[in-house]
Amino acid sequence: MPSNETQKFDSLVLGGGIAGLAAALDLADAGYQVAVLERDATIGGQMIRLSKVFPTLDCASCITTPKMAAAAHHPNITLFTMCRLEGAQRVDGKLEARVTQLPRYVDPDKCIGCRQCEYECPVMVDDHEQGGFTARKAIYIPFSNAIPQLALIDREHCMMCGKCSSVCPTGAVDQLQQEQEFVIQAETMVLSTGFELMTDFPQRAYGAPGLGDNVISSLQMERLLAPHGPYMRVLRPGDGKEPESIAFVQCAGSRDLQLGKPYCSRVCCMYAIKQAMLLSGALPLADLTIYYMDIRAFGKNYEQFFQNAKAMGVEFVKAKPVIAGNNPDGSVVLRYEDQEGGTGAVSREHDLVVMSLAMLPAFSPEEIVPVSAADDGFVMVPQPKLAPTLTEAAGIFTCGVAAGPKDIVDSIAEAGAAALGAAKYMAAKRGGQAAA
Amino acid sequence: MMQPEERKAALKALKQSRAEANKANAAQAKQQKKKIGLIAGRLAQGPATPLEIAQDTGLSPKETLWYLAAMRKYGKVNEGAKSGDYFNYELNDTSAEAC
Repeated sequence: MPSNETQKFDSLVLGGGIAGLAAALDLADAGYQVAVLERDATIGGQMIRLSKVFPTLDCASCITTPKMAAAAHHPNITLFTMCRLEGAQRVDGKLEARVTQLPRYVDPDKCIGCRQCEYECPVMVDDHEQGGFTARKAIYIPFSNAIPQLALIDREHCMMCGKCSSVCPTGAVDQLQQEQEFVIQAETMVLSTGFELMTDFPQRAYGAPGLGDNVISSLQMERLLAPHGPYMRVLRPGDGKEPESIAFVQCAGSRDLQLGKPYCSRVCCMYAIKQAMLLSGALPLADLTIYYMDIRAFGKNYEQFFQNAKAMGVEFVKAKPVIAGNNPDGSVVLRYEDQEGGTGAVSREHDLVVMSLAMLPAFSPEEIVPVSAADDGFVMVPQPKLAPTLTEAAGIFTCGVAAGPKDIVDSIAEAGAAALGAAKYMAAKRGGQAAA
Repeated sequence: MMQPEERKAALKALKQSRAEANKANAAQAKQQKKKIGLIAGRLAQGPATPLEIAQDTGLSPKETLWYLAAMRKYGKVNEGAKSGDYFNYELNDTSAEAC
């Protein structure tokens, strides 16, 4: 637990996803003291929850876990998980960040991550780390490679039966833990707060009321494809059927003025293609269809990846379908205008439908840090072409999806640029002070 | 640092302040235990698909699969052979109610 005193660092990185960790590691390797502030119970961000990454189909966990471990063990990096940034402002040239440490109800100095408490706990809760397709317990460790590997209690669902306390070999359970406030002082800040998917499915555009049990989000499909997913294979969540026909609906929410999200989420085309390719391996007999507005394969080797998917038999249909209904057998009916075949309105049934939902900013900077949000809600970047990591405030940088949708490659490249910008800012300031 | 007696009193006060929520969560846990018992009872008769279990227990297929995935996660059931488009599940041991 952090002390109540002000803790001093050179740089504060807000968000412990892949971009934040890359920026923190770059700064720490250059000799700067870095604090990484993460609101979740584990670092790793969205990337640690993915199955594989495009276009190389490398295991996401195999890339992210070493970065997480490197950050956790770096002598110049201090991780603060389950922390909420209340506000930050410059005081006498230094950024002062007011932080609330949320209680785990488990003593982090005593917990050894054995999970005996989790096995003993009688309360089951939707496991959002697994797309809500299975349960976790009211006391739990988020996932097997979470860092830190510490249990926490979901107070909302806990019934305080005391079973966790009775089996904990180190007496780590502490129901009396409270929120704790402290201050982090730093010269620079890097905003790497990432994204979340549109949670309210765009029902007006894609069907109402309710989309059915077999319409899922792209991040839920990532969990179905992950080796340690909820079913350890791809099954239809409505009834456990191994799907024979899977459809992807692209631009679900994004590029839609009516839904207030006119921007392209940039990665959906590629991850849908990736998921279709992985599915063709997992379910070789399944029909895979991607309904798209236009395919945006902009990065290195991305076009080849798209062509490979076509060669593997993934069907691409230029259309913007709506969900017309659900059949008694659980299949989902899509209805769309056949733009290329010219046959008018067409209905097709699929066992499972994946919505490539719009990416939304996970953090709104306004009234918390002295930086404003752009019209799309992401961090305002005044010079997006020349200096994409500079914000309006001197000494505050941004990287990754905090400033707008982008893929992992671009996020990591930006993280390096943000770290360099922060290092340059600190060097200039210190050089100026030495000269004075 | 709290003394053990102070700690005990504080914990008691906390439980009292959360009495309603604790009661609701306990009721939920009781329901969950009952449903797990139904699924385990069906599986004790032999391997079954989520649809068959749902039909025999009165649970919805989606809820049945949710419980099966959780029971598998905590080591109480295993995936068995495929039967048509569905996989069978079978008890790992006879202590499924402990899940």
